[in-house]
Amino acid sequence: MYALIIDDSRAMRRILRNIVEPLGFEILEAGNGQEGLTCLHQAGHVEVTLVDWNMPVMNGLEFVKAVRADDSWREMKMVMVTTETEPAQMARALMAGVDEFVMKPFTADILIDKLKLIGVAATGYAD
Amino acid sequence: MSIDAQTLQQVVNDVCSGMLGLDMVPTDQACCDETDAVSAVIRISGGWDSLVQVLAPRTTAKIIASTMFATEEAALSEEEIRDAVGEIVNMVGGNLKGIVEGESSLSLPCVGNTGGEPPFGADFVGITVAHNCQGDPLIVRLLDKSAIPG
Repeated sequence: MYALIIDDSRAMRRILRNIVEPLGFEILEAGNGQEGLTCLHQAGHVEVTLVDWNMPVMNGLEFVKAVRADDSWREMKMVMVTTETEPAQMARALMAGVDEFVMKPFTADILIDKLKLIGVAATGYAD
Repeated sequence: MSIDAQTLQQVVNDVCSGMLGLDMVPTDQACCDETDAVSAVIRISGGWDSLVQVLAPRTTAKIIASTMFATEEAALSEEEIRDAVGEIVNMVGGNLKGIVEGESSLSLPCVGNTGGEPPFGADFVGITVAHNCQGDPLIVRLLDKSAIPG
């Protein structure tokens, strides 16, 4: 069971890994959306992607649009982990196919609750 | 809505204390040895035009990076230290952008060693807030360019 973490910040990738890995996921990491697409093609099946918005090369919104344009990934859940809090931006991402939002800064509990909401984390974890 | 010092302080606290669990104590001592500090700057442009700088002396930068990477300070690379301070300014800038009305966009963080050069220039007028982060200083500056008389 794979989780893909896409963020240009290695620090943020580590923070997310330390929260998600104990849930039983094998972690894949990418530094931008383009690298994320490569990871998806190499991994085959990925349960959930946690994607930042503001990244070089290919940003998170472009990544989400590219993924949702490909039927191969229709079952994959996507959580945008971002500092973007403007309603217009959030609406844009939801329209593009994001399943959930986590606003930075966040706590482990907030992220795990969001993963439970979209059905990719065991509901008993961390209770 | 414009940003005041109290709001800026709260945002910094939310990022460093709320998310990372760092012990943050506000202080009036908004100075540090800028000759050996890590500086991260991010620009907000569009509806609100501003610059945010996080200035962390090396001791503070290592504390932040050590917490983010869950790694001993001695094992941290220079890249990891810079990355950690860059993520702090990214989160602070992003949250400030969300508070101010109007649609704006956030640049990517620009991180480097200050070498004593004030990034906003000697005539900087803006908001500066300082914290003791686990006992070491962390300074955040906000330059609201839209507030500067043209």
